[in-house]
This record gives sequence, structure tokens and C-alpha cells, in this order.
Amino acid sequence: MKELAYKAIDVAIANKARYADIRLVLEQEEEIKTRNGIVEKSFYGEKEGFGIRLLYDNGWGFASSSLVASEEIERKAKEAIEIAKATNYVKEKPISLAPTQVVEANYKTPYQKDPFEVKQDQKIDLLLKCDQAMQEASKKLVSRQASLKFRKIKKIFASSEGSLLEQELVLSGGGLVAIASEDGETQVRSYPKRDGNFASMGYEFVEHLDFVGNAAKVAREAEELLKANPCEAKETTVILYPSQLYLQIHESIGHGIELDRIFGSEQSLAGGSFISQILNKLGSFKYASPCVNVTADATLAGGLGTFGWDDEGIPGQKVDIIKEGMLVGLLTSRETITTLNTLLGRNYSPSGAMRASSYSKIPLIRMTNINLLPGEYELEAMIDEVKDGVILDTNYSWSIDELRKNFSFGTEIGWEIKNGKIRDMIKNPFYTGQTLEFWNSCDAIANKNYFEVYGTLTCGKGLPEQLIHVGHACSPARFRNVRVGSRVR
Amino acid sequence: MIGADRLMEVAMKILDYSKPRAEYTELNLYTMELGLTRVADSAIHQNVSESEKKLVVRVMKDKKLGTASTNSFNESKFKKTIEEALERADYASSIEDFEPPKPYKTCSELFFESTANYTPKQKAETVNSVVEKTRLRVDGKFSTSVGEVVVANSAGTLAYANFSDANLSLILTNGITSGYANIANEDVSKLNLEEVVNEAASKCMQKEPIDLFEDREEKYFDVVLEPYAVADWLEYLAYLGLNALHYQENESFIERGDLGKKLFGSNITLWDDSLDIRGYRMPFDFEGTPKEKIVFVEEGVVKNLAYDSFLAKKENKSTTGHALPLENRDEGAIPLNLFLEGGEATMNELISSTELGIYITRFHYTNPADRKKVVLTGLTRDGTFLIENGKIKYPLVNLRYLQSVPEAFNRVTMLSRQRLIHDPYIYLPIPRSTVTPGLKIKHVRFIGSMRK
Repeated sequence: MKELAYKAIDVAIANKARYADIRLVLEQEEEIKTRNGIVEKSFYGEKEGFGIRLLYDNGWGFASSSLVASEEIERKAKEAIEIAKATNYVKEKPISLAPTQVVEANYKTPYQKDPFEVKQDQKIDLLLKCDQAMQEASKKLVSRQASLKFRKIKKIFASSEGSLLEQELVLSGGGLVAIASEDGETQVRSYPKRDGNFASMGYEFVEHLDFVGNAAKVAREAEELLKANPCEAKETTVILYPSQLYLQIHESIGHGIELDRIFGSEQSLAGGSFISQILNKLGSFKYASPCVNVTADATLAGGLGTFGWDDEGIPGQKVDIIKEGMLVGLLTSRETITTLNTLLGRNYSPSGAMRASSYSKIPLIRMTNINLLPGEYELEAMIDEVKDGVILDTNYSWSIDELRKNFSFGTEIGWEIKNGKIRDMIKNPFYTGQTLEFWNSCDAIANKNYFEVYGTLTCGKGLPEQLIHVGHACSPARFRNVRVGSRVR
Repeated sequence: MIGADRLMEVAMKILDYSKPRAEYTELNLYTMELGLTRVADSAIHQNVSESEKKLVVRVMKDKKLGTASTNSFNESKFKKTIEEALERADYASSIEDFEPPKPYKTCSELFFESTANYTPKQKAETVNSVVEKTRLRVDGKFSTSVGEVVVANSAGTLAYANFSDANLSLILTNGITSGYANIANEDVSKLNLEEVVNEAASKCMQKEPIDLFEDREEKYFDVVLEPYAVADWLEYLAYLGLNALHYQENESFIERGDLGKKLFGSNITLWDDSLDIRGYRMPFDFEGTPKEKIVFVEEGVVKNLAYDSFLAKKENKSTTGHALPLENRDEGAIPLNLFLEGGEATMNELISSTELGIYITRFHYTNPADRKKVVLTGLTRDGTFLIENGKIKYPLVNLRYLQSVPEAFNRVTMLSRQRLIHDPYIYLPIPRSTVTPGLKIKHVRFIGSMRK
């Protein structure tokens, strides 16, 4: 495979590319899903291919193929050159890449149990036990779903600068969903969240999630929601639990700090970022209240956005994003960081965030693990200080504007807080706000004992859309003066 | 493209290998070639070519199903994939009521050479002419793609189709406001560049947008929705509400006993037809069921839901030809070639008949706030205006809505002529599109703006 990688680089350089890299990728995936006691899906897939990215004058070209063969690599390298020439045809913008160390090295996700070595009957038995536990816990369920998903990604990266990096990433996880229905009303409860939770770990992560132990609770809560009162419309104090807070971080911090988006590269689809308007204040812009500290950490143990190097050969690293409320860092690439440094007269290094979802896609700036660092609070003390408020848990819906300012979220479940005590369950909670107001209203974050890591496989960005795995770790956090209500009337 | 003869030969070889080993085998074979040029701030920043192919095979053994896939098209990988699927079936549950669809054979050549042969250089020249034509900032994308699908099974189905797509979207910005437009056609030579540039440019007003949410109170407005915005709502309505899986799990707004009931206004007639040349064409679904026009809503009355054969069997019905690709079959059945009946009015007539309302070009980041009631939320984008006394007066700061679509479709007061909407952000081997009019709708709920 290394020979094929070198071939691509040789062809690109011989055709006057001033930079070139190639990723050769082999990906395995397994998914098992049960629905109402039946194994609805038992799937195993493999895909392989390569993507060649190169710079010719000031234009990028990229070509990919699923046919991993010497002649195809040569053909695609030449095609990428022609594409790059076409790129140069329209108004050129000078491109320079931040320097990087030339490295030859390997990385492998640390894991104990290879999920592809665990027998299928063991996995199916686990899911059917969950199904049975959900069925026994509630007679109101119209759908019981349990699923497991595993991926193993082996990739080789080679660049014209001489780097040669080999990685093996292993992702594991799954989830439970219970849908209860009665008298025309339907409620959903899931564990750990509706699309499951995933980590850069082996099968031990599935065991850690204790699906069987949580199945009955999920079913019971789905049924209880049918009788719960809807979330009252008001401006109030909100405590977000991690299975909702992770997505709040994702949407209202994570995407907005992607420097390609800030520079307008995603305008044609997902939009830009309000940070483009305050970019010159990087380091001194008050994004959040002083208790808020956020990192982009591609080294977080188990984080779904953890890796050895990104897809342009920059090491996975931990970067401060928000420090004591101030915006101090961004997610960047070799190209965008050079532009930023020129613009601001600074000397930042690339954050190692360029990733592609597949061999066939071009790398873009993606989140790694965007984490809200723990505070000092005990959860009980955080609740105790609330006279009137709500706890919201487990994401149900999400939406945010094209500049990452106005957001709205729904959660599966909530509970009222009255005079420092958790009271009744509430259904259909929905809240909306503005990013800066919201993060500046954060006045308490629970301590490290409550710190949980959430991972999603389906963070979307780019065109064609790339769904990629990212992580978020956080403890419950409290926000003041949030507009809440019911998603249905 | 690999070509019909060769791909169908591959399919037959796979079925031959599987025949002695499985009671039933079905497969989906895809190939796709995509060329995509993206533009940001009037320069090309992303320019890619992707070649993909895939085999997905599902086998039944002892009434149990296993599925496997590969993207390596060689005999040893095909055999390995079959063996993998068979092994997975060993551990699966018995499916008692599985019944394959009736055998079907076709070879449909739907693609256009012009689209297949369109080069990155030609796309760059097109982009350059847009940049030179307008003094506005240009963002957008221009893609051309060709694909092939083979659906085959051991019960005698062998169906091949190829297709093509050319797609151009523009966001033009004057520094104050922006305008969006899209054109799409199976044949790239039919794209009218001038039309799309003029349409997007016409939305760029030289006035500061007004924020209607200074007071932060939720509001209701009559709206005039362009077909782009309507298509967004329709596609969610179809996915959430017309999908028989959601109906069977009580997650659809259509409940047991609702078929035959009037759930929409009398001016709503909605159907799916992937044979109609006004939309993108696909002659069969991914189980190999030949497509036909399926009416879901007729003059407000719910007539049908979307089924594949598995979901249909649960209700003793027949498939409506909406099976998804094998690897997505657990997501239910989704109509992908929607038509909403239009009227005779122009968009200008929708505006001129509005005393006070909001004109919306398209929505951004639409998502279901409530799946069952199809309550959607999202923001307006790239062309939102206040209509006063039948005229567009001011651009508006983008607004957030929170609205049940079935409710809104009971308050449609005017429909424009239909047009094709097709601006994919996921490129799948599934030709899909929506043909819809613009709508005037009374009393739509807004809960905020980008500023408040």
C-alpha cells in the first residue's frame, strides 16, 4: 500500500503539483439492530479506496476512487491536476500552508476488546435482553429498538513533504429507544440518546454502557411521559444534563469555531459564523461567563474525535477554545491558519482538525472532542440554588441559524425544580436562545464526578455532506433566564 | 459508468453463487461519478471528483436475513460478501411473513451524455461567467453526476437504470442582503444560467434588514413561500408522516383510521411519481418494484401511505414501490419524487394579493421539533421580506418559525404554478426531486429572529 501512496505523490509532483497528499483507507462496519424482538438488521460492510488532494499554483484539486490499483492511482492523480488547473481559472487567491513536521509513525485506538472479534450471538443476545426488559417494564410501548454499531478505519496518509502516517481507529457503541403511545399521543425515551452513544474504544464501551441495566428505565420513562404535564412557557433557569448539553456545545460552540466556516467556505450550504465579525478580538472576546472553559481535545481517552493525526498530517492535540469565558482558540487547518496569522499578525499553529469522512471525500475542518470542562459544583448544590427552573435531558431536536447565533432545542424529558427540589416530570420541553447570551448566562458547572463523554457518528458538514464522528465531554451545567416552552400546543 | 450489460452480468453471477446457499437473495448494485465545484467569495475553493461503487446483498436462510456490502468489484470479494451475509443470517431472527415482490425486468437508460461528459474546466468557465456578470459576492456550487443502479433478486427481478444530474445553486450577496436560486436538470445543456443569476440577484436589496423581534414576543404572519421553502416542508412531511414505518409506530400524524379522512385543506393534492418527466426519474424502487403514480392526499383527503413490501405485509397491503436501498431499509419507506398540485397564479400575484405578510425564499436548518405532529422549526434565509399592501417593502432579519406543517396545509389560500426543486447536499444513487408550487399560507407561527 505504501508503494501505491508514493506513486500518487510521484505522479502529482511530476505534473507540477506544488503539494500533494493521499489517503488510502479500508473501513469495516457492523450494525445490528433489533426492533420489537426481531433482528431487523444484521449488517457487515467493507469499503476501500483512496483520495488524492493536491495544490497546483493556487488551486486545489481532489480526486478519489474505490479501485485501489496502480493505474487508477495514476489516472486519478492526473485528473486531480486537471481539476486543480480548472480551479485556477476563476479568481485566484494565494494559498500557503503552515509548516509541519515530517513524520513517519503509527497510531492505534487503545482498546481492550476488538468489537469485530466479539461473536454475533453475544451481541444479538444483549440486544434481545434489552428488548425483553423494555417489554416487561411497560405495556404502552409501540416500538422497542436496540442497536449496536462498530467501525474500524485503517488509513495510510502520505504527503509530498515526506510524512507517512498509519492509523487504526476503532469506534464502538449503540443505543436503546422506547416509543410509548396512548390516546393519540406518542412519547420517546432513549438511552444514552436516540442515535446511540459511541466512543473510540472497543466492545468494553458497550459493556460500560450497561444497556440491559438501563432498558427498563427507558421504557418506564417513555410511558410516564404520556401522563406528564407539558413544559410551561416561561423564562427560567435551566439545568442541562450531558445528553442534551453535548449537542448545545456542538451547535453553539463547535461549528462556529471552524475557521473555514468563519472564512466563508461553507456559505453555500451550512452558512458562516458570527465569529467572522469579531475575529480580530480573538483572545479577548467574551464568549461566555468566567466559569466556562472549553477545549478541543483530540487526545481525550475514549473521545469519538480522538486520533493520532488529522488528514493533513497534523498531530491530534488539545487546544484551548474558551478560557474563563474568553474566546482564545479555533479549529484550524494548515491553509486557514496561515490566512489567520497574516490577517491578525499572530503566530498560531494549525489545530489538527482537518478530517474527511471517507476516502472519497476531501478533508474539511471538523470538530475533534469539544469539551466543556468541569466546574466545582455538586449537582445537588446546583439544583438546591434554583427557586424555579427545569432540568432538561436527552436531545430530541435541534436547529441553529446560519451564523450560529439563534438556536432552538427540544429534549425528550425534563423535570421541574421548585425551591431547590426536583419535582414533577415534564414532557415536550423546548428551549430557544442566542449563543452569546446563553453562554454568558451559565453560572454553574458540575464537577468532574459528573463528567460524561458523548460521541456522535453523524456530525454533518460540507458538500457533498460528510457525516463524521466527533465527541463532546461535559458535566451538567446551569443557565439563567432561558426561554422554555412546549414543542407542541 | 460500468454499463448495463456488464453490471447486470455481475448481478447474475452473484445470484448464481448465492442460489445454492440461500433461500432468497436480493442485491443492490450502484455506481456513481460526481464532479463538484464549490464557490466561496467568488473563488473556487473546493473542486472534486468522486468515483464510488457498491454492492449490498441481503440473503435469507432458514427464514432469517443477513446483509453485507463491499465496494470492491471482484469475484472473490463478491463471494466473501455473500458468505458474510449468510453467516449473519445464521444468528438473526426468523421472519415469518417475508414475501418478495413480483419479478420485474427492465433496462432503462435515462442519463444524458452531455451531463456525463461535462468537465471541471466547463464548470469553472460557467462559474467565472457568473462572477464576471455580477458585481455581487458569489457563493454556490455546480455539480454534475451520473449513476447506475441494479436491483436484482433470486425470484427473477433484474432491473437496471442509469441517470444523470446537473445542479447549480447560487447565493449572491451585496454586503447587506443575499439571494438564493437553484436550477437543476438531468441534462446539463438545459440549465439556464441567466435565469438563475437574475433570480438570485433580484433578492439582493440595498436596504438594511428590519428585525421584527425587538420585543421578543412570538408572532403570527401570513406568508408567501417560494417553492424552495415549500419543498423543504414537503420532504419532511413525507419522511415523517407518509412513511408507513412511522404510521405503524404511532409516530405519524396520520393515525389508524385516518385514511379517507380530510386532514388538509381542499386545495392540497400530493402525490409521488418518479415517471413524470417534470421531475427526476427512476423506474423502480430498491426492491425492484416498478414505479407508478401514488396519490397520498387528494383534495385534502389522505389516500395512502408509502410502503415497501415488508411494511406492506404487516398490514396485508401491497407495496407502493417506496423501498429504500437495502442498507437503509430500517428507516422505513419514503416517497422521493413528490408533486404538490399547483395553481395558475404567479409568485408576483401571491405577493400582490397580500396586505401584510412575509415573503420567504427558503429555510435553513429545518428539523422536526415534534416528529408526530410534523412541527418543524428552522430559520428563513437568503431572501426574507416584509410584504405590505401587495408590495415587497423591506428585507427582514432572518426569522425562526415553529409550525406544524399539516396545520399550515389547512390554511393555504393561494398556490402558484409548479416548478422543479432539486438541490441535494447528499449525493446518493437515488434520483429524487420535488415539484411544487409556491404557497400563500395564513397565520404561521414565528418565535424569534437571528438577533433575538
